[in-house]
Parts: sequence; C-alpha cells; structure tokens
Amino acid sequence: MQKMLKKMISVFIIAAVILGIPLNTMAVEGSMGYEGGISIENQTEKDEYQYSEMCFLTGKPVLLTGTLTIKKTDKSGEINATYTYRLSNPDQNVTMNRVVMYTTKKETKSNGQITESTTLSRTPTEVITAGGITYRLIDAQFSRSVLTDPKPGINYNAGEFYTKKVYAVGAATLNNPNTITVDMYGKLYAYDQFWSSTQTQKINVLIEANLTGNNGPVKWGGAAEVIASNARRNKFQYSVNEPYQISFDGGYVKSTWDESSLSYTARLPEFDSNNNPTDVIKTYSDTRSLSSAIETQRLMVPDLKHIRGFWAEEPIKILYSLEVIPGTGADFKIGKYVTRAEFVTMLTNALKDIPVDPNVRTVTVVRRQTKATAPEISPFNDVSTDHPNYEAIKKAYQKGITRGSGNGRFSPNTYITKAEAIKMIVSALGLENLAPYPYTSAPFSDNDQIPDYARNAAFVANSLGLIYPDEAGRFNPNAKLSNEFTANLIYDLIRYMGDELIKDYRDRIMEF
Amino acid sequence: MRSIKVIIMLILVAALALSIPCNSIFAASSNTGGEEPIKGVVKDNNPSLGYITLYFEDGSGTQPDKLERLISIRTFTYGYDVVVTRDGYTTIPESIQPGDQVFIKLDSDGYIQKISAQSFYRPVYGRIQNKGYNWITIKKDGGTYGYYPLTNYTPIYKNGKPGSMSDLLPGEKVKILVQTDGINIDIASIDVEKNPRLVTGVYRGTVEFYDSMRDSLVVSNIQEFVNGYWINSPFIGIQRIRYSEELRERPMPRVSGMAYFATQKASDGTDRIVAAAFRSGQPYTSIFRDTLMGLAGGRMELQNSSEIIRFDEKTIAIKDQRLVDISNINTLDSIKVSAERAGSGYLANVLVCDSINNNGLTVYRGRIKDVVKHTSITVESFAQLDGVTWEFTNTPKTFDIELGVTRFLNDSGIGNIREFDSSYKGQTVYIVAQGTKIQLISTAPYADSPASGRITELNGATYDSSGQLLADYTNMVITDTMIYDVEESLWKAGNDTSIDIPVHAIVLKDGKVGSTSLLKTGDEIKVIRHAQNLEGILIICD
Repeated sequence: MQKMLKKMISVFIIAAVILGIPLNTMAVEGSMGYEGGISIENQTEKDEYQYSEMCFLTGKPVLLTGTLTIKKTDKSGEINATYTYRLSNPDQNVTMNRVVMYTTKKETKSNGQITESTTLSRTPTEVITAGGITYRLIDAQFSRSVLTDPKPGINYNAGEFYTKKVYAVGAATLNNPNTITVDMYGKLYAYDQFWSSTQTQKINVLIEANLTGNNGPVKWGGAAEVIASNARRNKFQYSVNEPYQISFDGGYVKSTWDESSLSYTARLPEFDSNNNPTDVIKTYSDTRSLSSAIETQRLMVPDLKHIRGFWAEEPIKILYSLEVIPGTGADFKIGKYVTRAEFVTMLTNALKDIPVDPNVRTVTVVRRQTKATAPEISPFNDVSTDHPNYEAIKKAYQKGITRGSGNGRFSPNTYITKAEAIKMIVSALGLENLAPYPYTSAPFSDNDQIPDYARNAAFVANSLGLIYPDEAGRFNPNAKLSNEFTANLIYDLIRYMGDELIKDYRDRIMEF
Repeated sequence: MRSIKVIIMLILVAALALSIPCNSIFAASSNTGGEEPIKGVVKDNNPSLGYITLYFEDGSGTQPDKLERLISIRTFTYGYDVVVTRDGYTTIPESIQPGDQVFIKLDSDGYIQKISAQSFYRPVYGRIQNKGYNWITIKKDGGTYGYYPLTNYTPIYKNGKPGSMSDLLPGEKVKILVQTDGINIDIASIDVEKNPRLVTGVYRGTVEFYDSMRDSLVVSNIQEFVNGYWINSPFIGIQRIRYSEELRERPMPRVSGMAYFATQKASDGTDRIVAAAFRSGQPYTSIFRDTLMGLAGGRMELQNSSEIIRFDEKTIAIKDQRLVDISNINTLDSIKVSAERAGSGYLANVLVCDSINNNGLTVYRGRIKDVVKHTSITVESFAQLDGVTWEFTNTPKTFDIELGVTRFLNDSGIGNIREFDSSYKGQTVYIVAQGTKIQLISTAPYADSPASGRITELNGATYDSSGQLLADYTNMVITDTMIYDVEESLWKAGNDTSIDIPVHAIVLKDGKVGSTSLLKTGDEIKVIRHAQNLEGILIICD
C-alpha cells in the first residue's frame, strides 16, 4: 500500500514538473538577438541563422552579414543562452566576431502573465575591424524585460532592452583615450500564434566617439533608429489539377515562409576627404531583408462536390482542408445551424497550438512510470466526457474562451447565436480591452439588443474587420449561425491572424 | 453609566446620519460603504449649456425610445468651476468627447464637481485619396474609404514633429487617431508616414505570365518611363516583380499583352507592384509632354495638343512620385502621358506629373573678399547664374555660413567648412545659396560652356554587394545633346557627349544640392562645362 502511495506521489511530482515547463515560450523570441539585426533560420545547420545587422561605428552605415548561432538551455525556468555572431562586409573590409551570453528568468504572475528579465551572464566579447582599424569591446551593460500576456489564441509580448557598449579604437585597454560608446534603447513587440508570428524591435542608437586626431581631440556623435522585424507567414493557394482523369479536384497548398526586414535611418556627420567629421549631418536610410525558402504543404481535399459554385465554397473548402471543420465534407449542409459544441470545436481547431521556441533545450529527468488514471471530470454538467466534442469544449473552457451558458451548463446542442460566437472569438483573441467599458453606440443600429456580455466584443470584432453591420446596420445578436456563415467567420479569423495582425506589429511600426 | 450609553448611541446615530449621501442622484454605494462615482460612456457633452449625457451603465441607450429616459436619468450639469481631467491631464470641459469613458463626482447640490475621462481613440490607416480645404478622404488599408473633417487645430505630425496641412499630400500614407460614436468624429492627431514610400519606377513590359505561387508578374522587354521617355531596362530577358500586399487585384489567369505598372518599396526594401494595368496587344503608343488644361468626362485636355486623350480607371497617375487618383492632377500641371491608339483618339496608360521645386536656390560665382570663420563669406563682386549664362554684378555680397548646413567641396572632394578661413581670400568659388544662407561652397574651376541633354549612361560609381553606394559617379553620357553657343546665344544640336564629373562638381536636382548620386538615367539636364577640359562643373537637373 505504502509502495503504491509512493509511486502515485512520484507520478504526481513528475507530472507537476512536466506541466511546469513553460510551453508558452515565444516562437520568435531571441532569434534576432538584441543588436538590431534580422535573421532567418538556416535549414541545414541546427541553431544557426543567416543574420544581418547595421554597424555605425565607422561613422557610416555598414551592413554586416553572416551567421548567428543560438544555443539555449532551460533549467527550471532559467534560460541560459549563448549568441555567437560571425559577420562581415568584404566590400567595405569590415569583419565582426561577437559572443554574448544571457540569462533569462521567468516569473508567472497571479493573472497568468509572464515576466521575463534578461541580463548578461558574463562580459561579452566583440571585435570589429574596419579598414585596418580595430574596435574592441571593453565594457558592456545589458538589461531586458518582457511581459508576455498569454491569451487563448495568441501570446502578446511587449518589452524593452537597454545596451551600452564601449569600444576601444586601436589598443584594447581601459586607459585607451580613443573610444566609441554605443547606447541602444530598444522596444520590442511580438505576438505568437499558429497562423503567423512577428517580433519587431525599434531601437534608438546613440553613437559617441572620443578620438584623438592629428590636431587634437576629435569628438563626434550620431544617432540612428533601427527597426528590425522577423515574421513567419502562411498563405493558402488553390492548385488546379491539369489532368482531367484524376480522382480529386484541385486542392489547397499551404505555403509557409519566414521574412525579416531591417530598416534604418541614421543621422551621422559627413566625413571629409581626410576622414574627419564635418558639421553637416547626413541622413542615411535603407531597408534590407532576408527571407527563407517557401515550405509547401498539400492539404486534404474534402468531398464538397455538392457545394461547387456556392458563394462560400472557398472558406468551407479551406476549413475542411485544414481540418478546422471536422469530417470529410460529405455531410456539410448549406443552411444548417451550428450548435455551440460544433462552433467551439471549429474555433479551437482554428486557433491551433501556439508554437514554442525552437532553440530551447529543456532539461528534464525522464523516468519510466506507469500512468495513474484519475477519473476525468467535465467542467460542465451537461457535457459528458464521452461527448464527441468534449475535448474541444474542455479546451475552450480551460483557455477561457467560454464559461458556459450559466449554472454550470454549456448547452452543447443549442444553436449558437451571433453574440455568443463573437464573444468567444474576441475572448480567444484576448482583445476585449480595445473597447471602452461598457462600450456604447457600437456601429450597429440594434446596439441596445446586444447582450451586455457581448457588447464590447461586437465593437472590437467590428473594429478589427471581422464583422460588419448588415444592410440595415444591425448586428443581429440573436441570429443563429448557419454553417456557411460560420465558415466565413472562422476563415476571416484565420486571415486576420495570418495577414492583418502582422501589419500592426511590423508594417505600421516601420511606417509611422 | 446610562449617560455613557446614550452618548455612544448619539455618536452612532450621528455617524450613520453623516454617512448617508446628501445627493440622492449619487450612484449606489458599494458594500464597503465608499461612494462609487457615476460612470459610463459619453453620449453628448455640451460645454455651452454645461451638461453631459452618458449612456446607461450597461452600454445601452442608442435607440430613440430610450433617449428620453437617458436624458432624464443620465444627464448631469456642470458649472465653470468643474475640475476636468482627460487621459490624466487637467483640461477644460470642451475636451470631453463622445465615446470617452468617464467617472463623474457630484457635489451636494447634484452638480458635477469633477469629471475624469479616458479617451478611446483608435488608429485608422490608409492613403490620402483626396484633400480639400478642411477635409481629407482616405482609402483605408481594408479597401474602404473614409472622410475626415479637419480644423486648423487638428494636430498633424511628420517624422514625429509637428507638421501642417501642406504635409498631407494625396498618395501619402497616414495614421489617423479617431474616436467616433457613429455620428461624431474626433481626431486626436494625424501622423504622416515617416519616410514616404515613393513610386520607385513606372514600367511597361510584355506579360509572360502571372506566378500565383510567388505572387509575381513575370514580364519581358521591360522599359521604364523616365521624363516622358520609355527607356530600356538594363535587365535583359525575363524578370519577376512581386505584387505589393497593398494592391488587392491580381491579373486574370492566362493574362497576356502589355503590362503597365508602378512599383514602390515594400517593408522589406524590395520593389513591389502597387498599380498595374493590362492592355491587350501592343498598339501604337505616343507620348505627350504638355500642360494639362482640364480633366472632364474621362478626357484630358492639353495645352498644345488637339488629340483626344481618354483615361480610365486603369490609367496609372503619379504625382510627385506618389500614386494618386487622377483627379489630383490639376490644371496647368506639367504632365507626361504615355497613351496608346484607341479608336480615333488615344487612351492614357501612364500619366506622370512632377512639380517644379527649386527651393529658391541660386548659384553665384565670385572672388572672396573676406571670411569670418564659421560665420560669413563676402565676395568682392559676383556673377549670378541665369539659365545657362552668368549675370555679373559689380558689388560685394555677403553670404552666411551655417555650420550644420553649409557644405564645402574642394579639389580633394568633401572639405570641412570649419577650416574655411581667411586663407581662401582672393580665391574664386561657387556659392549655392538659399537667400543668403550658403548651402554649398565649391572651389571648382570656372565653367562657361553650356550643354543640355538626357542622361543615357552614368559611370564610375562603386557599390558594395548589398547595393550600397561607396563612390559617386564620375562620368555621364548624354544624348539629344544641344550645345549653347555663347557668342550667338543659340542652342545648336550636338552629338552624344561623354562628360567627366570632378569631385567638386555641383549637382542641383529637385531643389536639393547634392552629389552625382542624385542623378538617374533619363534625367534631362543642363550642364555648364569647363571651357578647356569640358568637365561638367554645374549639373542642373530640369
């Protein structure tokens, strides 16, 4: 009996350790480093990235390209990372070698948000040679802090980092009077989810040179704004079959690729023909990019011959192909109302799981254990654990997408209303705070009929472009959702997560 | 003992009495006994009459049948002494806008004592479609259009600094912070795109196919429309140009014929198609370089041509390197139109309009009489460039040096204006000035041999592998050359001419003084050359 009890305790402990491993790590986190550079994963070398960054030490912008290798280990929530840079610009005769080691500590707060703080594990090494002059790092400071707000469908991140680096120009001693100090203050914004991930860093760089020239001290300064962004994108393309005698219609191809862009505006003194700084400030600006090869994936071809030509055929086909709508499609009925259970299944299938950081090696002790089976308890008293949609309903409940229909019930077989559906979608996105509380005068003529719980969600969904008023300006909160309307709604959600969100996190930060 | 009990009872009763809110309108007390302020979202704020109406706390109150109840229950009055904060700043009642989320504290008479508001502006992104005296319309990123009224007080920002209405140009991307309750629109600010993505080129080419997987147009025989000429691309063969995500339309499958398209830099720095028109076949095309007299009924009227030139929704209109709606091309604008034969007239494929802007730059040449280091230069007498000839004035003139502005070019290239001192007395220099403020001083030699033409080649520049310019052009070849005979005051046709450009040559283009990196193949220039070695000393781009 005692042995049995010990076994159960040890199983419980192991399970607790495994559950404690942070699964919500950002997919794009860290792959750019914190130097204002961009990267693309090298498909042949593990942990290695093609990397580019701008260097302003010489007083002119120099694009450095090469490799960045990242090694990370996660030990009880503390991540130790080593970033190794090997960069050069042969045309301008510049090379750089840099090794930086960081330690990141994470803390999960009572509301589920995760704070991260990163510091240097040890003094980094960095040597740059440009035109025969050596710039050697002699002092470095770094701190970084990020908040992650995990929402059911998306993890949102925002943070800051600060770097100060002092380079000795020529001899590498602290007494060397020839120094260049680079101060960088960066803000980073990122989100992680299945359909796209983006991290954008906006960095203000200040360069201060204290050098000795032939006629005494030469001091000059410059500033730059660097915006670096990494993104993972997805696209769906319908591919028509050319042979006539083939068992299936053309199908959808999912393309996935990474794209990185770096744009900078630097204001640096113009240098004269003797390479001395002048008072005229020259503005340099440019944009550079890296992109990965496109990975394609053929999707299942559903059996939807009975809806060929139907106005919502495309979203329905894509959702079946992506297995967001379960089944083969043969039983899809136009006009059929969707139940709450069916909608939650489609929504959770559409959100998919948030990817994890590919560079992290989690240190865990694996022990053979016999699995103890505890009886599963449904969160709702009207959804049994053997209900066909049980897993999706449980997942939606656990992620906070739904709290049920009241009194401990979920009402799985009740037809879902538009208000309920929109509320669930906006909860999944975690964006309800975009509306004032309580929002009034939503751009719907039937605003007063919208249930209180869904009013903010209706406003937010409208402002995100997920729903629009009908021809009479109504929201129609109590309307039941048909199969095809639901397919359109979920497809628009996927498109929003894939194409629209990135504009806010990358394009607009670069543009304004 | 009994008296103590009475006293305690009296204290309790008094305390209870004091705790009852004097104002019956005041919102419900919380369980902890504290008074909750009135809260809600502003439906209407009338500072003239001194009242504010909030929607019901549950967010309802938009339908007319609720209006009377809303006015009687959720309208509150305020006087001059009301304390107002919005977004954490002390402000005036006028700044409270419909849509604000507010907390209201009433005094004992039921009047508003304090209002604390939070705005809920949201960004709207789009390109300016049209602009009027006090309004703009924008084409939003989603493809819909929006109208936004402006006042003289609407804050406009460019590059993060205060701007003005003149910074709002058709074709420019803007971010408008708006708060609307469906009827009222309040604009907190308009931000103009930091580094406007200008049209990088207008091209035509034979369509090979549309590559849907790479979202690209594949074309051959590409030509670029520069200064009203179709110039062959240095790229030989078949080229792929990606579509911008901003442009939603894609060509039909099996598209063929001629494609006209404009490109802009995307966020990754690559040129992407932002406008495209497909014309079947390769009909006869003609180019009109003229002044627009009017646009009406799908036709444009030109000053020097009686041809009927139509335009349609596919006509690509570019003004000052911005893709615009054709209605933004104004009467008397100088335009270059590429049009194809259509019926008895022409159909415009591309229309380009560039405003003339010289920024008031004047070129002088004179012998230095005096230099006040870092401050000014005085010339004994001077010649001022007028077209391609020099007009001499026999009086001294003083120009101001501004260290951060004034550039200095000497025989070695870029010099340092801090070192420009009295040792330069007696030397003859070129001065490019805006008013009396010197933009550039150059020690380049005297030039008096004018020529004009169109640049066909630019040579001598070096780039790194990433395309970054390392050294400027040192030579150019011009065609359609005209040589000015100073003695006869006549332009005479000449052969294609190769012109070397020294390091202290002066280049003026689009109101800017710069280096030869400003020049582009196709540019029409006037160049004043050295009389002996015929080096291009002054290059002025028309």
